[in-house]
Amino acid sequence: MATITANVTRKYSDLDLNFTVHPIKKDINKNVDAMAVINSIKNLILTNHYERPFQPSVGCNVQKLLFDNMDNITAIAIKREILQTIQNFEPRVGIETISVKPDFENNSFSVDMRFYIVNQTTPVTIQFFLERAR
Amino acid sequence: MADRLNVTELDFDQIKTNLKTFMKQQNEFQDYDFEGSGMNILLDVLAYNTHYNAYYLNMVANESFMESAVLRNSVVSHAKSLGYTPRSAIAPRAVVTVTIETGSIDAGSLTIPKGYSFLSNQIDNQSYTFVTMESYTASKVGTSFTFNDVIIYEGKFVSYDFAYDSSSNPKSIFTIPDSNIYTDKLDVYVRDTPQNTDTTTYLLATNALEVTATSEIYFLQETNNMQYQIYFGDGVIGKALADGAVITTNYLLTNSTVANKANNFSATTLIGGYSNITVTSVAPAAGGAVRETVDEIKYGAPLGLLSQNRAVTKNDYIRLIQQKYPSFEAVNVWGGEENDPPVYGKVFVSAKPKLGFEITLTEKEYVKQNILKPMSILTVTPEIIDIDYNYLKVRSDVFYDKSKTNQTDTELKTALTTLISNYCSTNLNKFNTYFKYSGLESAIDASNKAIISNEINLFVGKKFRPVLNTSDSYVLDYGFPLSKGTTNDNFYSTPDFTINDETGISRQCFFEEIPSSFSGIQSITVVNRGYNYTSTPAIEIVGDGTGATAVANIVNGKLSSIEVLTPGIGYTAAAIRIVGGGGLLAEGDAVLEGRYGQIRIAYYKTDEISSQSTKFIVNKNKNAGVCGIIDYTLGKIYINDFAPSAINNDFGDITVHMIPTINVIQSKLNKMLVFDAADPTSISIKTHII
Repeated sequence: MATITANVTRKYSDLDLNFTVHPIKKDINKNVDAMAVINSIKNLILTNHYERPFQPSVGCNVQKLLFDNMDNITAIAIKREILQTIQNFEPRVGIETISVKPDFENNSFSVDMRFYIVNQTTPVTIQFFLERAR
Repeated sequence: MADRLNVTELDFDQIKTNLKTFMKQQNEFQDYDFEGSGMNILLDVLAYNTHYNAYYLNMVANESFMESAVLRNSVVSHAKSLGYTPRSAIAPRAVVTVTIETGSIDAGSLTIPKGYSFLSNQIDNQSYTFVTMESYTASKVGTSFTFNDVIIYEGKFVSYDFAYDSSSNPKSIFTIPDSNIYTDKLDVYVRDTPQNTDTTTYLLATNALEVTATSEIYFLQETNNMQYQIYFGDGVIGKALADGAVITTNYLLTNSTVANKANNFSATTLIGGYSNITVTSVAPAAGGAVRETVDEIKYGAPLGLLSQNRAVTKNDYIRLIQQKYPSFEAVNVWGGEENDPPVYGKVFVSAKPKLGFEITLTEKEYVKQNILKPMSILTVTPEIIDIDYNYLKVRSDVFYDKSKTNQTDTELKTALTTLISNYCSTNLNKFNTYFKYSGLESAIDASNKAIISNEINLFVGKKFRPVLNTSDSYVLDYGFPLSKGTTNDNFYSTPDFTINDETGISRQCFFEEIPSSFSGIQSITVVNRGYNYTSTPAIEIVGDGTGATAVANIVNGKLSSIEVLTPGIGYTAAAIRIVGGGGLLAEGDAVLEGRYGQIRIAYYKTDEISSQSTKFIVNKNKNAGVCGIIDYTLGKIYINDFAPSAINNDFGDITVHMIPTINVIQSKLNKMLVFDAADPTSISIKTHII
């Protein structure tokens, strides 16, 4: 009898680093698919170079840039930094647009990203603020 | 599927790869392979932790054994269990004569106190303080006090007191608060109470067998931060300290090597109220050395255990000198029975200093009295003798194919000079070594594909320092057979020396070999006199020459001598046969005329009219100008009645160069074959394009 094989898209699954507990299973929560990828991007952007043991190249220079003068030049630098980090370390993501704008009122940068996860047709849009914490 | 998890790796990356391989076996978290994922960060933590532990365990295992330990603390601790105290820094030591002019003839005596300081001349723009480590007393002669042979050490004289409290320091261990101290000059005094003025000197314990419950001794050990600790006996092994005792330590804080070679000193303060102080250097500062390194301890501690702090075997002596006196680069030791003629009951030591070629008299005396004598066996007397240097010069003819190299002639010569220099520096300048022609020739051949062949000629130079204006005889012992040459060919001497010719005019002269054309039999020596000879036997001379004849003299049935009647010609080897005469076993040896050569002194004189330079022989009318003999077979040159008035050289020594006839030159006992890389005439290369 002939076998029909369905081509199932790979499902990304990752540990939630906040270690939240599943309300019913009482097990640790998982991030799956787009959520897993978004979390990965967040981790990469918030990691400094030399932060991960023995892997000095992994990470992004955003934290240092946040302490530079708040202007469009810094915004462009942040944008380039994010773009490079994702291209280098997140092979699952194809970025469509990325915009970084200084928000002078809140002393932060607003980042808008629109990307496709490889092999998926639905674009993912995320927006977040980068603000220096200390 | 735990079988897929490798546990052999120690490196972070490999551990992480293993963990990833392990993660492939589950479906729950699949993002472990992406750098940004939470799972990946968790793997980082795990891998880091594993790596950390692996490294730590590795270190613990390594540090547990002397062989693999790298930390000084661990090595010192292992050495301690072998009864070995690593050598501290050594202060440079100089000898001076101090003269104090008082201006009055009143009799009296004066003392230079312990710890009195002198200031040295500047070395690299820095003056160093030298101090006395004992007091010296002299009586007045005339109007001045003269202190001979005052030994001074580089460093700062420090006195430090400890109070002993048995409740807070039950093991009576005291840490000296300075690290770079010279422990040989550490003095320890003990007063039972602070009020007591009587001090007892405690000595360093060197032999546990001699220690009793009342021995006034202290022990010394190195601590974690390279400082030194002293500790005292417990009342069973060594006398215990009384509670409340005050321990005074006097020591020298030294800069070790930097002040070596200081040779000019001045007094810093008044001595006994006198300021007219003259300091004359007798021996420049020498012997300063840094503390024993980790590698030296690792090498020396097991040997120290083997030799049990005694100088018995050859290696005991070498080890002892190298540990206690590190200013020597190479040391050789041999028993007097190896000498020719043998000298029984003596051990001979020869050493090459790190700086220069000769060791000073005071250094010899120090090593003999302070290092060797206390450790050597009774009745065996150590004797330190100078090294007999043979200076090597290499002349090389190199044949090469120009088409096979893009190097210029000069570049090739430079490369070969470096190669020869490195080869010689690696293989020579040490004891008990040998130089092979073939070794150097193969190294040159192998160095460049363009080199087709090469030929080495060696000159071996022997230096001697004549006493000026005094007629004296000198023997240069090369220690290997020498090759015969023609004038200005094999034999040459440098530099020129000044000597008066027969008319009393001083000339710039040099030695030269008188070409020898003799090839007959010079004499026949009797090796065995035999017995029962009733008539005169016939002497047959068998060899590659012709025409030599000789006759035997028989006295009381034994061969007394053999007289050469005609020397013959063309002999390079000859054997003696004794035929007939009715006796037995008489033997003789032929001595060829060519065994001995002669040397003379010559100079060049420029003719004022023709401007041509002509060679003249000094004392030509007296014995044809012969001033010495070369024994080619034994490799010795005897120079007689030599009295130059000056030598054109800063050091006042003359080097006589000869070519050896053997292909392997060995250096034994106190002989050392050296190559002076700083001398530009050491290597000369001629290239020939084929």
